[in-house]
Amino acid sequence: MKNPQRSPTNPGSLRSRFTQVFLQSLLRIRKHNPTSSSSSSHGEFLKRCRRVKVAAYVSMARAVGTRRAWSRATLWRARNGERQRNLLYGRCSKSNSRERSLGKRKRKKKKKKKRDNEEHSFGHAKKLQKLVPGGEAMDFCCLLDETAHYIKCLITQVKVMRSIADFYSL
Amino acid sequence: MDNEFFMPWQPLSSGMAIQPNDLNCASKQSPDCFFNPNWDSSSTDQGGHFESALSSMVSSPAAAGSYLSNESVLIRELIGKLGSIGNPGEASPSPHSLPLSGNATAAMPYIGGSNSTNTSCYNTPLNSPPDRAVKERFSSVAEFTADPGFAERAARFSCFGSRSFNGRTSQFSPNNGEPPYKSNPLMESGKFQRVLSSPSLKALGSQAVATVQQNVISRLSDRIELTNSNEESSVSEQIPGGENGLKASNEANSRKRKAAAKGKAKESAPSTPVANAMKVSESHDNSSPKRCKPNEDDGNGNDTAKGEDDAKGNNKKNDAKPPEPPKDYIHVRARRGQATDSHSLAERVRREKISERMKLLQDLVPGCNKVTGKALMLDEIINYVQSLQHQVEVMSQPFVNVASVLEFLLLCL
Repeated sequence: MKNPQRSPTNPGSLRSRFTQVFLQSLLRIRKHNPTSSSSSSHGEFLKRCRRVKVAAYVSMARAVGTRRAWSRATLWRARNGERQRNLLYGRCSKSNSRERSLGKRKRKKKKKKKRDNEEHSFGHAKKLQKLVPGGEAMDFCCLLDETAHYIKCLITQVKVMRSIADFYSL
Repeated sequence: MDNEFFMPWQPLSSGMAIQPNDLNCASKQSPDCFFNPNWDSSSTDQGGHFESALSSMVSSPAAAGSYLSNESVLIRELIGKLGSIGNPGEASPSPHSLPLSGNATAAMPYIGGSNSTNTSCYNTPLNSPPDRAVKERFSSVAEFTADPGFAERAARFSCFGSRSFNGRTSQFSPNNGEPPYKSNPLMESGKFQRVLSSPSLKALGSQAVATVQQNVISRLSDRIELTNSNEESSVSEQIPGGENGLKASNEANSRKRKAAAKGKAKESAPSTPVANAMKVSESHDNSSPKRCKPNEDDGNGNDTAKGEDDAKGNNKKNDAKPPEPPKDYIHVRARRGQATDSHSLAERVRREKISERMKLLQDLVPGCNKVTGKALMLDEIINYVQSLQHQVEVMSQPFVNVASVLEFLLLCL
């Protein structure tokens, strides 16, 4: 999926990578929820919408790779959320312990950075930090950098999703 | 006046016969090196060939003997050699212009006596304009370079040539690629900033002598600007093709050292995107000597008055040659009349970084051009990000009832 040779911000390759990953994740969702087409409750619909949305973000993060802080944060959040859900339901996966340690290390790093960088960030930047995934552990300068890349990728994401939907007049 | 100078240079066409084979090979391999205004990363490979060829070429005259006494002879030899590089396709049209610019650059390493390897291929593209008027101008420049006082001046320039040179650079950031370049063909400072700030040139490395050579280019281009804007643009576009005397620290410093001359009002001249060629060139000509002098004073004053960091930074700028990506710390020079302690310098560096990023964001976010000020810009950016995220959410709804058509789509990809 990832193409380490190419720059992830190259729109052509990013777009194609994102499309590929997104479609794959959509198929996976469909496979996991075979009864999705039949059920029509509103709650179910919302749940599925959220799943598709998360799938879109995660597939975009995967297409970008781990070069960017925001993509790393998104992937970590997704994995963390999954782990939390597993714990909640009492399901124990083999990767849990590994992820837990990884998560702890990341959380510690994030908290420490947060404390260090809070003094430097402006008032407005706090809002932006909340918007951009992983923005809270960044100083203002890096935050702007990540925001620029994040905006580029969001634009690509919306374009691709719209074009797929239009193509099949969904 | 112009025609007179052709006479002494005619015999120099024999210098063209001195064409080492590797040079020819290099020139054949990389013709695009010089004529490509967009210096993309692919050309660095070609530049590598070229650099090795040049170094071999340059080192051979170095072995010839003492330079100050036989300066003119060496110069003529090197002219011929260097000139052949810039004209892979057109050897004939400019036999006269070949010697002239090559003269200037080739002479530098020997006059300065600092380096043996030379990455002065950036002068050769100046040879390629086939226009006779340009050649005439080159001849006048060569006359100027051949005078004995030039050696001294060149040596002086090597010390703080980079400063004066970079002091004239404008605000173009390396990230904003082509548009600023193409819209300002008339601005010599813009051209040089373009050349200097091209990130791919870092890979080619540089020598301290490059600063002197840059000054020579600046003088050459001064002459060019005086007469013809078209030629100027063609020359300027070719300069990046040949320019590889760039340091990584220079690039970082150029952006900061542009501030060295920023205190002067002259900086406003380069910032006008479209200007009359004559006006701009005149103002540049007027300003360039002025800039050189205050920069000298600036340099001297700064050397004496500033703390160790900047003095060290100054020395590092002249001596160090880091061809690889920027180091951990960046050397910054305090602007004239500003605080020189390290805290304020660091603050300024940070502020410049932030303003640079904000400019990038301004390009990304539509409708941000009219907004000025960080707070309003940030508000706009936040709104835009929120709207994009909302759009994603909306777009995810149609995909809830996915059909098997997606498998077909995936197969197509």
